[in-house]
Amino acid sequence: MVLNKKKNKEKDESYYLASQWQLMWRKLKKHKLARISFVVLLILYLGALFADFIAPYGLEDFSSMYQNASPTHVYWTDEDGSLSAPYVYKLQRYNNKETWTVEITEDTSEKYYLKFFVSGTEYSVLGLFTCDLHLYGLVNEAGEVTTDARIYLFGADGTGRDIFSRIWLGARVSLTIPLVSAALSFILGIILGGISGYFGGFIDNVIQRIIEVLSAIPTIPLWLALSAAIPADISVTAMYLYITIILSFIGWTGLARVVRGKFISLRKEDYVMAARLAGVSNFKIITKHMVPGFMSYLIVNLTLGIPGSILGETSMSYLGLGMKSPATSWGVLLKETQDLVSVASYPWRMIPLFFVVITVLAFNFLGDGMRDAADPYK
Amino acid sequence: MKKIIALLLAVFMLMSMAACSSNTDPTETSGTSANTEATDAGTEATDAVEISGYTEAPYITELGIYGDVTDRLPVEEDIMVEDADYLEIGTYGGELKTSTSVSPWTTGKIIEEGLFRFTSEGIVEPNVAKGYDVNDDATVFTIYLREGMKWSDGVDFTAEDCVWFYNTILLNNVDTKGVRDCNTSSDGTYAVVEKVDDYTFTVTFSEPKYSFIEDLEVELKWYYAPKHIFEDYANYVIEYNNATDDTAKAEAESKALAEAEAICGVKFADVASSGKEMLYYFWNYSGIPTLNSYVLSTESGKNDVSGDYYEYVRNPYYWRVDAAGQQLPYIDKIVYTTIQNTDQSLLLLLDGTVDYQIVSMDAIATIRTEANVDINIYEWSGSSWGDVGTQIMWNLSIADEHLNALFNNSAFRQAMSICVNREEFASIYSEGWLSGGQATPSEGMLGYSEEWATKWTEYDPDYAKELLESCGLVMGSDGYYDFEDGTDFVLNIVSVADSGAADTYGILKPYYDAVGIKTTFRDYDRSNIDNMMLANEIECTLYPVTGIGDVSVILKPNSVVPGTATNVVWYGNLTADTATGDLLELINLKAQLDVTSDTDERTEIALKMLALHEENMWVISYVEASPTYFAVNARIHNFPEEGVFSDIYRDTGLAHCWCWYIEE
Amino acid sequence: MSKDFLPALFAESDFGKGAKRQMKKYIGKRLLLFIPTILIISFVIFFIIQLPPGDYVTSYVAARIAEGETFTEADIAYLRQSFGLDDPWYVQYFNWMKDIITEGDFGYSFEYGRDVWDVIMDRLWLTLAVSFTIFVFQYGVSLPIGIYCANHQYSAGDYIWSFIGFLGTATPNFLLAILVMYWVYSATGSMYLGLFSTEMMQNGMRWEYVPEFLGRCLIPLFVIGTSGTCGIIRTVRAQMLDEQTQQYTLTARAKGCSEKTITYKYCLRSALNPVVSGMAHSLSSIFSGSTVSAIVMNLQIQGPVLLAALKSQDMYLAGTIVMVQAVLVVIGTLLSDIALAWLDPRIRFSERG
Repeated sequence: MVLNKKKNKEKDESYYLASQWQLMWRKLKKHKLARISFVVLLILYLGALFADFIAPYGLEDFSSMYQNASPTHVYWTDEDGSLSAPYVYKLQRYNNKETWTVEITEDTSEKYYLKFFVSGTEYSVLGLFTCDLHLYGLVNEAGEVTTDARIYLFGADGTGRDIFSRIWLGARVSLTIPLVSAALSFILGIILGGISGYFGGFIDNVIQRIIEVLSAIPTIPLWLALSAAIPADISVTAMYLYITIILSFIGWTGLARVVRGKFISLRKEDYVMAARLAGVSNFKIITKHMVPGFMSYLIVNLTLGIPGSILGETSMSYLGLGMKSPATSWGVLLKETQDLVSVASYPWRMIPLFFVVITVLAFNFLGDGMRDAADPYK
Repeated sequence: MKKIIALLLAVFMLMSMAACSSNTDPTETSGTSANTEATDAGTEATDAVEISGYTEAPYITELGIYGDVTDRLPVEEDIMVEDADYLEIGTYGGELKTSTSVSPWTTGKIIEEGLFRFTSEGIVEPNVAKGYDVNDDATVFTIYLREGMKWSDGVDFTAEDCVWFYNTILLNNVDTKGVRDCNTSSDGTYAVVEKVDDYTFTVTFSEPKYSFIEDLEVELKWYYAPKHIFEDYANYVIEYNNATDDTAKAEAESKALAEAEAICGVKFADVASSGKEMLYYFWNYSGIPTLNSYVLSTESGKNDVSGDYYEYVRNPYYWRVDAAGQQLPYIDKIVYTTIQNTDQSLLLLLDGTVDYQIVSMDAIATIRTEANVDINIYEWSGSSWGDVGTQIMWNLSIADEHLNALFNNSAFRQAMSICVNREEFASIYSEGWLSGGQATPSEGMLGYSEEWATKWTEYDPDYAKELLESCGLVMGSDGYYDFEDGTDFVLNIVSVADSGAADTYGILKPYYDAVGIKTTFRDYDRSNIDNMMLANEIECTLYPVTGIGDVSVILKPNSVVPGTATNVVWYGNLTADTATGDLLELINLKAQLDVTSDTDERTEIALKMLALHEENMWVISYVEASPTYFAVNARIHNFPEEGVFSDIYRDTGLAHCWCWYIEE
Repeated sequence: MSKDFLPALFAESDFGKGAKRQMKKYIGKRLLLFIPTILIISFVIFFIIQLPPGDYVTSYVAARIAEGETFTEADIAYLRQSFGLDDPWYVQYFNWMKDIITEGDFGYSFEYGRDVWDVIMDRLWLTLAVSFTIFVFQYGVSLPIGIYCANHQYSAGDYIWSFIGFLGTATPNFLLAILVMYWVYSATGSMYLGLFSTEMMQNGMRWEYVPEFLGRCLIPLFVIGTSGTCGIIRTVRAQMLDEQTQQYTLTARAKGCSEKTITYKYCLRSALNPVVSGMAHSLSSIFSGSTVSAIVMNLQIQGPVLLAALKSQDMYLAGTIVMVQAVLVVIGTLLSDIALAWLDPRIRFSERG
């Protein structure tokens, strides 16, 4: 008992001494889903960072034997039932034009063993050096790395590429575009919304009209027009930047409106008046006194903006305005599965959807947790 | 291969028929007997089948407003009997349910009625016209119509409708399309069309026009319009076109537009569009009588082809019967619902909301397992040169000197062809359904040869590199070839958005990379591609706007010859004035073809044209031409098992939907 | 639009006479700004629409060529002239605007061959009905979930309801739509594509079709409706939590007000500030968001028509549709601003200075 009490007291003291960010972190941990979400996002981002390493196959590793192959069956036991090193068999594919079915059989004449840390296709690490190490791959019975047989954990797409690899390689695009564009629209939103709400008058009217015009125009014409403005033959990176800018260009107006509303209601508060009378600069009043006052709301908006951009990217891909194959993003993967044949006959092609949903949910829950944590009164 | 041999035979028969001025009576199955005199139409259908009497659909009887069926059909000898071997005698009734994304031709091609029509073997046979004669030098064509045939509003269809159509509509450009090439002599003068009697008219050319009947079927098809409907309208349009002062023009315009609205109930914005819509896309406007099996409904809410729902209703005056004397069509209505894309039609096929749809091979298994209704799959031959989706065309008149030299160098084209492992590529591209191939006429088509079909198809990346170096390219430090002066060689490939070309390119790219050809890819909306094409800005296309080739070079030489159409990429902006070498020869051969009568000579010229293509390989393709697959609800009967899917045969129109019947 | 449920929540009005005058002045001022805003929007829209290269004639010609027709360059020039597309875009804009203002003529749709206004009216009411239903659905679902989650922070209910509320948003509409359609097909054997069956379109609406029609409405309502719930739930939840610790809430609680009163009378009212200011935006995103879904689910609303018009550069049609939507959103913004001013007097007063 005594011990417990002492511990509590220590905790209390540290509570009062903690900085704002420490407090936030402490509170964030209370939101269980936020905590889980944080871990999930961490894993996803790490996966995206090391995508080349995790992905056993590249974006252009087509296969004429593995189109629409279901997730590879990994065997753990020998024919006689004893435990074995995990292995797979090569697939044989036969298109039967009489029945219009594809007959896929396993060629059991040779086993291909799963091996970790094998060398495969080369990739560059952060543009610094090249490396050919992959997390896992297949070796034949002689121990040589091979792509004759394939191990597709999540199955294959219509051109025989590994969906697992494509998900991670696509994550590099899909997980970073939203961060950048959300940050961009966040900055734009705060600056313009802040100016509008704080100064009011003529400048407020001008910014309000701009926001009104932009937010009144449906996003689709904007997407189409802006995409049409993208020049031909640009690199994947440049395409990436364009998409980011298009998304953030559209995203900022909602936030700006909200920020403005907040500024209007706060600027007549006594503490702001006091600061103004004391001769504090406008910039300082905004950044030191007003913004923290509704930080929680901005954080809600920021985290809400990220999944919005993830989904925006998928919609752009659906309309044919985003990344183009062989460059891959989650939007590209989802567009490819958006037909009856995939939905009905190859359900594993829906796995990328699961990643999108998980990511969007995780960002939302994390945002919730952060909001609660940023609330200074609780 | 029976079909293919038949096709081959057919092409020759067709040519011989065109040349020997025969009467194309369907009963003369040999097609070679020289019938010199005008058709005695009485012999037409009746030798094949004995028809004791004519019956009509209960739908018509129940309406109770039409008289006796025999009064609505042409005179007995002139009735057209559909008695092809595959046809069963059907039963009346039901609705053909189908869906479409808005397009004037989807509704038109399947019910189109030309003066003549093609069989799937490429033979011209009588249709609206019951036959024709031609004089020895192919300058005067006499066309015979069916006596007693009626427009869908019951008014007699006579030679006047054809003669008036040519002299008033075409010569005055009322339909905005004007006189087509098929009516133009080789010296550029227009044909003279004159009425002989109510059921006979002549078309006279100043120079021989051996291919008139085929050209007519390829380019124009229908050669008639209901004079009793459009006479006033056409006069106002002509008045409008000839008006010199603004007030007269405005007055004529408002008269023409008011008349147009009175005819079909649509307010057109200008005279030109009213003419084009009502006289060119006439089947899409209700109130305009046609000779088609189905006519757009006149009921409000069902008669707007840009709406979400519309229907085509059986023509009570249709002039065909089945072998048992039942007036066609069997099915009462064709019902259209609007969809956004063809994928949705696939969904609707599953629960029977849609009766037929063209499907891709990889979807067939899914349709079979998922559908709640029985679905039959019919395979028709394709008509393109190789798979259009993998055709690659280079702009042979590109402004850039380096590229121009390269594209016009056959060694480069060969390198591009052999650097791809065709079998592997074809398998990935088609999910294993198709084999590798080349852009050549497919087996059975005129000019097919095994050597050509396999030319430059063997995978040999090392030789491809040698060839590239022989073109003056040098390997750069980045692993890609550069031009001799050190500038980068980048091949910018463009294509049509949503054509699947982006994915195709994705599969091709590693092969190009492997031999050191740097490529980029971008797809554009069709409209932009077309614009770029006119501006000569395109370097190279994959899945071209219009693929090369069709069932026969003789029937449709345009896509294989420069200077004849605006819509083919491979020759860029070349015309007879700018082309050189083999391309110029190709143009000259086409001109020669136009004025040659002798069958053998025509074949020889066509083969020479094809030989130039074989020699130069201006267009390559990586995959064999894929057949066309129809998924058809099993309740629809009389869908032909075999056919050729080609625009000049009117695509699905060749399936003769008026012969389909429904049996659950 | 917000009027439907706001009065229910705030039955009593505490406006004084001065406040009413304030409101009138505020509304008048906003109405004055309405017209220039619409004009600017129309100009921007027209500019954007003509931005992609080419014009209607190029897309028209391309579409016909794809169907096997041939054109010469003279044909194309003639077409362009007859469509009046040989003027620069700002001249076309000026003429278009002039006709709208002087004659109420919104121009001519090349694609449909009819007056733009006729084309729009075909689908306007259905579009509005669908959008409004979805709008109500979104707020009807999200507000209770948001309030519940705020009152039960960190409970299992909070997690479960948030999860459900977020799931619809997290799934891209175009994929969710086809998945749901397929699942429903597997379960019922009927493919519910579109709001109307062939029979309904053939025979017109009859009473016996009503159950099927309502069934057909469920899928789009679910797919499009759930896509916007997440944002509203989070905002309501966050704001409610903020308000619950404000001084006035503590005071109210100290004075012995019931939790119910505190939640619904005080907290919710303040918490609705950003919710209301986001309403116009949700309307706009329903218009945009429903386009993709409407294509996948073949809904006979304006989204797909707009997309097709944009792609084929049928500019007067596209321009008018976007403008109609924009006007609706601007009206929505106006209404939400008015509601905001009514809810939060601080905004009203700020306008005075």
